[in-house]
Amino acid sequence: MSDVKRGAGRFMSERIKPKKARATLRRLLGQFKPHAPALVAVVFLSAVSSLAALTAPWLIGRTIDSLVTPLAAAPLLLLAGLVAVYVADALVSWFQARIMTTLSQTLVRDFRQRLFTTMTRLPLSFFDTRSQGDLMSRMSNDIDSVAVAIAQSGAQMLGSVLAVGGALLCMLLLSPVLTLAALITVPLIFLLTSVVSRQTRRYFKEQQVALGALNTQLEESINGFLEIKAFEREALVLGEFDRLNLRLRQLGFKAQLWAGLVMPLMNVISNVGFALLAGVGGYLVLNNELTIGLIASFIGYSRQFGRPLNEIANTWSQFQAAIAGAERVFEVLDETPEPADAAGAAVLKEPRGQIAFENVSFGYNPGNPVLKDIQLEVPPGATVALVGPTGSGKTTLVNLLLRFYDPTEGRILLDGRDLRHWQRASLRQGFGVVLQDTWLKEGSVSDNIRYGRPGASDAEVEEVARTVNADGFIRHLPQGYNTVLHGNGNTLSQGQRQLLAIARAALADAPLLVLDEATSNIDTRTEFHVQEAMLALRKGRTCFIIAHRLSTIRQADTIILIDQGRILECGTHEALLAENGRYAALYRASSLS
Amino acid sequence: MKLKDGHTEVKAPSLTRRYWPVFGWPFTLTVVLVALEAACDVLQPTILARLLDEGVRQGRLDLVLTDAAWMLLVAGIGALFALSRNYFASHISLSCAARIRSDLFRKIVSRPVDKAALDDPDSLLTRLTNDITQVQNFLNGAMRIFFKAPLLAVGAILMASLLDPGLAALLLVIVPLVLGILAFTIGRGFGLFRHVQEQMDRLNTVFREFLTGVRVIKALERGSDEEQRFAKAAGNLAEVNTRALWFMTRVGPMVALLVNLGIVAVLWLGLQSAEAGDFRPGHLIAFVNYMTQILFALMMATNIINSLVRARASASRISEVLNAPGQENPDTEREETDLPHQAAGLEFHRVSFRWPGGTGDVIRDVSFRIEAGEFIGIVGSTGSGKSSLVQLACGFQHPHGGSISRPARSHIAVVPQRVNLFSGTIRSNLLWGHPNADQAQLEQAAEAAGAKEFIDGFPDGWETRVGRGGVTLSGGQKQRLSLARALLRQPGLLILDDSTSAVDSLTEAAIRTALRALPGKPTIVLVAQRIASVAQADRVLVLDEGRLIDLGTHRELSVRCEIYRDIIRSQTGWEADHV
Repeated sequence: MSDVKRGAGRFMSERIKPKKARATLRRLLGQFKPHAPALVAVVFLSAVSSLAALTAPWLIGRTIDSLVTPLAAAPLLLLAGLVAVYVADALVSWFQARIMTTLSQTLVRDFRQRLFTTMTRLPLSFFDTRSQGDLMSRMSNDIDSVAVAIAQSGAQMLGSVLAVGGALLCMLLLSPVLTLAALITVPLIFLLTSVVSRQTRRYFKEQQVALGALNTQLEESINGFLEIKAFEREALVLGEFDRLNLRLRQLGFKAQLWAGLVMPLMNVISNVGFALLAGVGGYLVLNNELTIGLIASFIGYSRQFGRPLNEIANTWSQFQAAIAGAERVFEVLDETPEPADAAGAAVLKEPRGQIAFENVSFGYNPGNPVLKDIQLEVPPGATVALVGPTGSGKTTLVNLLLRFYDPTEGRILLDGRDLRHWQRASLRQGFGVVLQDTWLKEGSVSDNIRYGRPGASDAEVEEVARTVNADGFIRHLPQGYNTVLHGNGNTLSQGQRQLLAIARAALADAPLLVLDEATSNIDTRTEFHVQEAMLALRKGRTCFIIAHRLSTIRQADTIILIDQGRILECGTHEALLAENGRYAALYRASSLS
Repeated sequence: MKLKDGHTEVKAPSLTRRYWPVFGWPFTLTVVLVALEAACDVLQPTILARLLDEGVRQGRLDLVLTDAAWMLLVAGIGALFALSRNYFASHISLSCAARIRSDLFRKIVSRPVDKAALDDPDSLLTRLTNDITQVQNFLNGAMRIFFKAPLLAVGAILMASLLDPGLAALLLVIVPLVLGILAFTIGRGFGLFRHVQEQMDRLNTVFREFLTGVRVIKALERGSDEEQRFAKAAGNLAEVNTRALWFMTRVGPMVALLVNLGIVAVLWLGLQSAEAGDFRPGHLIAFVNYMTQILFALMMATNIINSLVRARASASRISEVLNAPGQENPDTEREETDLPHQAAGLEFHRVSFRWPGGTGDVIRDVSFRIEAGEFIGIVGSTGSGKSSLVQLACGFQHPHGGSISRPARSHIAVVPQRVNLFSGTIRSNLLWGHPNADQAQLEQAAEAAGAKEFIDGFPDGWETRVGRGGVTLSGGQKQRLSLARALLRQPGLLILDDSTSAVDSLTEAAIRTALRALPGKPTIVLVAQRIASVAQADRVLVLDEGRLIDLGTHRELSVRCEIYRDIIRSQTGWEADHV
């Protein structure tokens, strides 16, 4: 199940329009509350900077006029004013950018930490139903786009709006007629951008679909590389690839073509505005209705007008991406965490290890039970082995024991008390767990073993490694116990990784033990050597073993055969053989006689 | 080939060199179009200067109107250039990306089965998807903005000098200063943003580790430790990022201030010459305009850094795959030209093998001969070389010592350990084995593989969709479909690489019986974990640390082979003598 999902979700990170834009925006703004002073400073500074930017063209125009009609104003004074304005503008925008950067990075860091902390408290079902790629992209891409929006769009948008409004006001004050000439092209800008962006959106959406199809094929081909080779399907796969690749190229071309129109169009329109400004302005000056310096001021203003419009269009799409990203992050933050411990839940301390399943039923999805009416009594210190075909519900049973999930019906008792009435943390600490899919973390070999019990000394780590027969191979590693493992310990063989996981559980020294296919990847010869250690590990502990190899579980006190969520047979190895049912048949098939 | 993740110091130009011959000319044409577009932009202020100084100052309306018309015309021509370079830029960047993707995929498909591809398919996928998109975006941007900015700057400087050589002397001071600042910024910025990328990777590693280990972390109640680890990574990232961005915040205001002070200087110089009696306001206005154009162009250039850093890293990751050695044609193998669908033999003669990039031999001096029609079991511990032996027998890998004689690839069918089904129906997946198989053949293969029963159990039967968006199959069901797919091929040599591990023992025994009764009696090589799986084979081959330890019947081996007896003991708890 997870395979399929993972692939599908991975590349099709759909960046469609946010669903609840307004609510999300309000919530995102709420994040700024603690940083209100900084935010006020940013707003103030960008207002100052916009004001400075508005003064400059006016000063330039006045300076030029002062040359045309001397003594109109002192030109040197005007120039000094201009220098002051430029210096102030530079300083203010630098401060503003610094504050904004710090603010956005702090917010993003806190946002990331909150997302992570929330995830550590979410129930396992959350992770079981989502692809890793999807969650990864929420943590990196989505939060990044929020960061970009905060740092750039926020400040820029504000500055742009002020600049546009201010420039418009100044122009109107200086000459309404020339303003009309300079801005007659603006409605054209809006018209064209709306047409272009509609087309762009359409083709981008189609391109996204084509990309998804191609990526799906690529993923399948790379995962199924061996099959392609073995069945000599290279030509067919390449043919399919070429078809999808061509389609992506064609649609991508259209999307790109339309998207690429925006900039040149804006440029053309601003050039046309420039020409109209020159023509009409020249005419007005000739009729003595304007000074020549005003034309200079107007050129400055119309540039200020055109550029922020461009930026607003640009930042708008960034903004949309940010809102969509924030929405996806909030979605995770809103997930219900694992329920708090029930009132009066007790701390589990040195449990005896008596476990009882009372009419336990469970399904991951309603209406699709995986376990049905399980009844089971396990005395303290007993070893229970679970046998059954893949998908019969063995691992689900373990999930319930560790309270990764709670039964939908019935209850599980530990030392006579419902699991739900033990504090969850203490309950889990009571279990030593070795899972089929061994997970190692980045760090040294001894760090990994010590993960089971952080306080353990080096001597204890090595002692445990010796008892589970891991000491030998560890000493052969380049730096022995200090060898650093990268990328889930890929440099080790499957068997070696499982040995480390067993050592980790052994060191944890928990009173209850769960071994879910713990030795499935250890070859049978090595396993033979591990068996002894496992036996020692199991001594005095209540232990649940899931194993494929019947030899591994022969000595269990109780063997339980599960199929389709029900217990079919239950008893010791000898008893079940005598019963001559399914177990006996399975056993005969796997043995040599 | 060794795949490294991240930012290796492979020089990016190798990708450029590879594709320049193909896309060089259209790329150049596009850049020329960009240059022409920029030329139209920089012509405007010069015409404006003439309009003001000759038209307005001399009171000639006709000149004002014709010059304004010229400005409109130039704007229109510029638009044409802009539209055509947009067309070419889109076309080239998309074609180039499609071409790189195709070359990369062909390279991947054509090369020998690779340990890296099997171990780390994600890394290859990233290259095929994200990295190519990065390069495509960069190319597209290059032909739009990155080239336009410097061209615009150069054009503006040129036109300004033509307009007023005296004022242009100012540019000789300002432009080198600004370029100096930019060069310094790009140099430092590169390093800073690389640090950011490193910390980002680090954060992703920590997070991915959490996601893969969430069960263990929850079981061990170590969530708060992970929170601390993550907080540290997120803190480091924020710190490095802030440092990099702070550095960048200085550049914009600094460059703007320099150019703006230049504008003040221009006005002051204009003032001087006006006092001397030579006053041309149009010149001044145009010159100020050129300064602004130069400023904008230079500012655009600073934005390149980020894209460049990313595109370079992506390009080097792509090149790494493209530059990996291709498949050599070995003369150490002989493909027997047998008749199709007839049992075929397999012979290894003193074969040694190591994985490309590996350090030690995983197969050492192995010789054996399997007769046509034989049923051979292979056992050995993990790391003993079983899988490598299978890869060699299939012809996926080639020995570096000794020789192999095997049937042609089309007469071999292999059932791998890890099964992959492809999006489609059960039928379409099985047809991989034999594209023209009829229903009877399909049913027969499914029957022998123990898959017929569950296929018939699906509401849609043979048309049941599997893979993406299809039904969820259990591991055992997938393995049985994979086996049926191989059987349809009617191979002369059938290789089963521990391929029934998820099938329960009863079904497995039934499958073994069915295999022995296959029409055409193919040679069967069965790699297994369980001794029970190979006990009834004609002969069993025992591997240990890449060496062939023994080859004989189950009975013979359980008497004479110590390692074999060890395996039996571990699986049954019985002494082999008692069997």
